[in-house]
Order: sequence, then C-alpha cells, then structure tokens
Amino acid sequence: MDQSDGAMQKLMQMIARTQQQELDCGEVFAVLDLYAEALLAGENEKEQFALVVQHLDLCRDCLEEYEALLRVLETKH
Amino acid sequence: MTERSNEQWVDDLAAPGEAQEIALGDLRAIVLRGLPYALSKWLTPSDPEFESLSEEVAQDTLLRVLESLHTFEGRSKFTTWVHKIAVRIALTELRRKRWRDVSLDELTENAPGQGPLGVLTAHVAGPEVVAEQSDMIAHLQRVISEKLTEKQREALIATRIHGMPMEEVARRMGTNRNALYKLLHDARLRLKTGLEEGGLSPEDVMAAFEAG
Ligand SMILES: [Zn+2]
Repeated sequence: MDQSDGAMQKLMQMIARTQQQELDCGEVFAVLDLYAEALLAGENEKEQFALVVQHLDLCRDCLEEYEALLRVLETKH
Repeated sequence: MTERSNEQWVDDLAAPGEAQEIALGDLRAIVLRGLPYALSKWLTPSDPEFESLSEEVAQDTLLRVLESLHTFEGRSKFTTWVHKIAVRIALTELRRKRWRDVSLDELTENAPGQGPLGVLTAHVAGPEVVAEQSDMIAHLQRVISEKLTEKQREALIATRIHGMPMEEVARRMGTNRNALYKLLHDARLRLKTGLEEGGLSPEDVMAAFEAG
C-alpha cells in the first residue's frame, strides 16, 4: 500500500468511527484535565471517558493538546 | 514555593493584593516549567522562538486563569487545570504562527481534472483499478459532491488532507473550532449515510482497497 492509498483508508476509518452523538472540542477541553489525571492514576478511564476517547480518536487538535498535557503531568517538577 | 491546596490557590488568586501577587508569581513559574514538555514535539528550549513564545503563553495563561477562576470546579488538581489552559494557549499560538501564510483557497482548489475531494480518490483511479473499486470510487465521488456542502468539502480537505489545524481553518472560515467540529461531524455522518445508501460500509471499501 503506497502513501496515497492511505488517504482512502483513513477516510474510511474516520467514517467507521463516526457516531451519531459526539462531544465537540469544547466539551472535551472541559474534562481534559480530569481525563489526564484518571489515566495517570490508572483508573479505568477508557470506560468512564468513552466519548472523550472517541473524540481524541477523530480530532488531531484535541489529541495534540491532550498528549502535550500528559507530557507536562508525567514530569514531576 | 508554598505548596497550596486547590482551595488555597483559589483563595489566594481571588482578590488583588499581596497573596495574589505571590500566587501569580508561583503559578507563572509552574507554567514556565511545564512548557518545554508541552512544546517538545515542536520546539526545543534552545530554539530562538521558544523564549518569547513561553513568555507570551505564561502571561496569557495567568490572565485566562484569573478570568475563569470561578469556573474551576476543583475536580482536578488546580495546577493540572492551569497546565491544560497553558497547553491550549501555547498550541493555539504555535499553530497560528506556523500556518500564518497559508490561505484556505490555495489548499482547497481542485486539482485540474478532478472533482471535489478528487485528491482522495484520484490516486486509486489508475488503469489497474478493478471494476469493483472503480464503482466504489464513482459512488464515493457522487456522495461527496451531492451530499456535502461546499464548506464541508473545504473543511475536510483542509483538515484531513493538508492537516491544517481546526482553529486555523475555523478562523479563515469566519467560524470557531466548536462549530467547525460540528460541521465536520455532520459531514462524516452524511458520508456514512451516503455509503450505506449505495449498499456499502466503510469496512467494505477498506477491504476492497486493502488487496490492491
Ligand atoms: Zn477536538
């Protein structure tokens, strides 16, 4: 599979992951700190925050912000 | 630096005065210590951009924290909440700088001879494409041009093909990130329905193109 073939697969993955009800970026931002702390505490955050997980799977911007927040929190100052 | 509980942070920051000054100074230091990690994917502290960006981000973060202090619910650590705000401000600013000279028009112009979103489907339309695949492509092209609005097509191309950040696309379209997310969500739902109407699922299409 060459790189451009990936575009079709990515489009289809995106459609496959689409749900009728999704959180928007603002709703995800509102709980991003809670989600990050739950993850670091090893709570079963994936279940509790299923809609956040789904959004992060589809929204690169929120995912970047979430990963940046994790990098900050994982470092004990 | 004093260790503060969530309540102490909020108390100290709530009203102007000496306690607020000290708390702001401490918070500023905390934000500045976090930023190298937040930005590590894009900038190292030795980058000439780094210092001015972090100063700006720290300043804006403190302002935002004071403005929205009443919205802090105490469900996370106060400093986690502040880092979240700092990260959002930092990445927003970084994206704005990185994409400053890119216009939406030049990104979303159709390549010659291609329909809307042709970039997505053109690559598989070579002579070796089997009948099943070319039917799928034709159907998908039809769904894209008939079911999506012009704005949805533009937004999809800019965010998905060119990787332009949502905030940047939103600003150029005269909207905001939340509204743009909803627009794209609606576009994805329309594509899904359009595929289903053609008796296709995304899994079918993926499987058909996997082999080739
Ligand atoms: Zn988002």
